[in-house]
Amino acid sequence: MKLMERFQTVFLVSGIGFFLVSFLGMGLAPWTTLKDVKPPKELMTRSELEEKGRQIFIKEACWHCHTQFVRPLATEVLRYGPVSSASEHVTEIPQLFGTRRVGPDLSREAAKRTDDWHYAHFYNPRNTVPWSIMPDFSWLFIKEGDKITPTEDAKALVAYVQSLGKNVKEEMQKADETFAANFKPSSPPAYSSFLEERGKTLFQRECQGCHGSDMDGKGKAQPFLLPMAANLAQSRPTVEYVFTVLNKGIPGSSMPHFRDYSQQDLWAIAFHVSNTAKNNNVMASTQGVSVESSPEIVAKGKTLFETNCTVCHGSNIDGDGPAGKSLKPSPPNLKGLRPTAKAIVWTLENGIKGTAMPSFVNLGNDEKWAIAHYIESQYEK
Amino acid sequence: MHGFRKGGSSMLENRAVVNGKLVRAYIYVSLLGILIPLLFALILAAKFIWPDFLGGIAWLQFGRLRVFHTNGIAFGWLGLSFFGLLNYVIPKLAGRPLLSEKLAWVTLASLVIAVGTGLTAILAGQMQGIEYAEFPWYADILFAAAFVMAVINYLGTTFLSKEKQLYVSSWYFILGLAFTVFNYVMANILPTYFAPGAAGAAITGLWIHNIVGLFVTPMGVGLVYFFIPIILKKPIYSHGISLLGFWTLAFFYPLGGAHHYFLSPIPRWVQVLAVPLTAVLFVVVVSVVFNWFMTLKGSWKEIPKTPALAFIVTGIFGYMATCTQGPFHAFLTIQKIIHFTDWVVAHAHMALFGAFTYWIIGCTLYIWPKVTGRELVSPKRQWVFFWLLTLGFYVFYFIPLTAAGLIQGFSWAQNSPFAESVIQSKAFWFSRMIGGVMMYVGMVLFARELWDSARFGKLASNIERSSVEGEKS
Repeated sequence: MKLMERFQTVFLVSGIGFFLVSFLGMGLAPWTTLKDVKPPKELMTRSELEEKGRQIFIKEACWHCHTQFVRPLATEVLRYGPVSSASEHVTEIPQLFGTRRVGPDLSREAAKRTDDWHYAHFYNPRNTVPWSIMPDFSWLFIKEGDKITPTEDAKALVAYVQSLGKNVKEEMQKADETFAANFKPSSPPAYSSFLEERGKTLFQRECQGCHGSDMDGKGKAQPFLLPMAANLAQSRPTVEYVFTVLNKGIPGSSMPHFRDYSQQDLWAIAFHVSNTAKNNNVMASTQGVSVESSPEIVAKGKTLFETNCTVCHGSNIDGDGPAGKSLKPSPPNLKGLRPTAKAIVWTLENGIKGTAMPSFVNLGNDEKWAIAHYIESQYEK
Repeated sequence: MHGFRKGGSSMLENRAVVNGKLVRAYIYVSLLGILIPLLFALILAAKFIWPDFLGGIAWLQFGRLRVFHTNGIAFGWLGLSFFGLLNYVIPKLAGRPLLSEKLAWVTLASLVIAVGTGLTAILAGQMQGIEYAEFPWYADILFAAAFVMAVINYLGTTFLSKEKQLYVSSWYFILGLAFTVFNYVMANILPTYFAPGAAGAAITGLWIHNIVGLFVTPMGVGLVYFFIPIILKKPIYSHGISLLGFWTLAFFYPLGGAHHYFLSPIPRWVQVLAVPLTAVLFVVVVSVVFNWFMTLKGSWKEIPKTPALAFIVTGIFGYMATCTQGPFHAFLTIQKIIHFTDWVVAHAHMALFGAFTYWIIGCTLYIWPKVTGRELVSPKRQWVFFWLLTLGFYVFYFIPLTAAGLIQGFSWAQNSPFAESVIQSKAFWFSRMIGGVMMYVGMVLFARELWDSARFGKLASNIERSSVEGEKS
C-alpha cells in the first residue's frame, strides 16, 4: 500500500501514465481508425468566402449555441435531415460539433433558406423569426439611411451557412419537391374562436417579421427580402391556399415551410390569415383611373390574359402554365391567393421585383383593368 | 505515518511555512476572476429574456460573453483561487515553505497577464474553436508557461517534503497538476490545429472532461480532504477508502471523455466504451463522500457554528448531486433527452458553483484569519451570503434550469416546433436571472467580508498568527 502513496508512484502512474492511457486509447486510437475516411466530393473543398465565413462563425462563438451534427434519432432526422457521418467532417479543423442547442442544429442548413432571409436574420434575428433569442450581428452591415448593405463579412458568413451539408442539399430539396408535388390539404377542422386565437398567436410568433403586423408585407424584414413578403392585406386568400403555402413554402422566395407545426396549428394560422386579410383590405394605390367591371370588359380581359399571362399562370390561373412550373418562385395560384382587382392592376404596372413577373408597360390602363376583372371573375364565390 | 491519524505531524504544527501575503494576493486576484465573469453572466441571463439588451455591440455579443464567462471562471476564478489555497495547503502538507516564493509571485503575475490577455482577446473576437480552450495561441503559451511554473513550485515543494508517506490531499494535487499540463497542451494543439472532425471531437471530449475531472476535481477534493479533519480536529475516517476513491478517479475518469459527444460521428466503439467507463465513476463519488460523511459523523453540530464548515459541507452535497447525475447521463436513453439542453448547464453549474466554488469559499473563510492575522469581521454577513448563494443557486437557478432542460429535451423528442422549446423556457430563464442576481450579491458580500476582515478585523490570537509569515496587512 505504501508504494501507492509515494510521490513518484502518484506522479508517474496517475499523472503521466493515466494521461497516456487516456490519450492513446480514447484520443489517438479513434483518430487512427478515421485516417482513411474520405469526405463526399462536395465537401472536399471550401471556397475562400466560405472559409472566411467559417472563421467568423468561430470568432463569434456561434457554435456555442448551434450544434453541427444530427444524431441518429428519428425526430432529429425529421427536423434537420440525414444523420451525420464521420466522413462529412474530415475536412473540419477544428471540429464544430458543439455541445448545446440554444438554437437549432445547422449541419443541414444549405439551401434551406434564401440568402435574403439570412441577411435579414443576421441583421436582427427578430426580423424573420420573432420568437428568436439569437443575438443580432448588425455590425456586419453598413446602414446608410434606409439602405442596409451587407459587408464582406456578412456575405462570407451567409456563404458558410449556405454550405453546411451541401452534400445532401439535392437529396433534401428533392424530398421537399416530392412532398410538394404530392401534397393534398387535409380536410380543415371546424372553425372556432379558439383556432382563430391560436392562429393569431402563431402568426405573431412566426409570420409577422416578414409579413408585418398588418399583413401588408411591410414587416421588419422587408428591406432585405426580394421578392418581398406577400402583401396579404390586399388579397383575400382562401384558407386552403394559406394552409398549402404553409406546408410547402414558396421555393425560390424567402417563405419557408412550417411543417414542424402540427396540421391543426397550420389550419389555425390559415383561418386567422384568411379572415384577417379579408377584413383588412388596405388597397394599393394605382395611378390609372379605375374601370368598373362588365361582361364585355371580362371577355376582353380573358383574351388579353390568354395572350399575355397563360404561359406562366396557366389557363386555369392556378400558376401551372408551361413556363410557370419551372420558375422559382413559381407564380401563385391566383384562385387561392385572390388578390383584389386593384392589386392586380398595381402588379401589372410595377411587376414583382425578385420574381419573373414583369411590368406590362405596353398594356393600357383599360387593358390592365380588363385582365384584373377577368381574373377576379374566376374566383370561387 | 499519516499526519492526521497520529495528530501532531507537520500539518498541525504551527511552524511558519506559509507566506500569508502570497495567499492573500492570489485570493484577491481570484475575486476579480469571479466578479467580472459573473457580471457578464448576468448580462447573458438578461439576453436570454431580452435578446436585444445591449445588442448591436460586437464585444458584448452573446457568444463572446459566454466564452468570456466560461474561461474567466475556469482560469481566473477556479485556477487562481485553487492556487491561492495551494499556497497555504502545500507548505502545510510538506512541512516546509514553498520551493520558491519568488517563483510564486512571478507565477501570479504571469497568470494575470495570461488570463487578462486571453479574456481580452475573446472579447475582441479572437478565439480558438475548442470549448474551454478558446484563448488564442499567444494567450495559451502565456498560460501554459505560468501553469508550468506553478506546477514546478507545488510539486517541487511536495517532492522535497520530509514526510515519507503522502497524505491523500497530496496525491490529488500531484495528479491534478501533472495531468493538466499534458491535457492543456494536448487541447490547444491537437483538436485546434491538427485533428479533424470526429477525431478532433474525441480529443476535445477528453479535454473538456479532464479539465473538470482531473484539474478542478482533484484540487477541490484534495482541499476538502485537508480541511475537514483540520476544522473538526479529528482524523479522516478511512485511509483505505481514500485510496479506493483516488485510484478509481485517476484511472477511470480520463477514459470517459467521449460522453460529451454521445450519438455523434465519433467511432461507435469509443462511445460504447465511454458508457461503462463513465458509469463506474459512481464508485468514486460514493467512496469519497462516504469517507467524508463518516468523518463528519458526530460533528454535525459544528456546522451552525462555523460558516466555513457550512460551505464545505453544502459543497459536498452539491458534489454528491452532480457526480451522481454524471454516471446516469452516460446511459443513452437519458442522454438522448438531456443532451444539448439546459439540464447540462444546470449540472455543470452544480459542479463548478454548487461544489467547487462552495469549497473554495469555505476553505478561504477558514484560512483567512491565518493569512491575515485578523479575525473575520462579521459572522452574520457570512450567513447572509451563505443563504443568498444557496437559495439563489438551488431554488432559482439549479431546479428551474434542470426543469427547463427536461422541457426542451422532451419537446424536441416529440418533434414539436423548435420555437416551443424556446418559448416554454422563458419563465425558467427569468428565474435563472433572479438566481444569478442573488448569487452575484452573495459573491460581492463574500469579497467584502474578506476585504473588510483583512483591514479592520480584530487581531487574531497568537497561535493562529504564528503559523504564517508576513501576516501584516
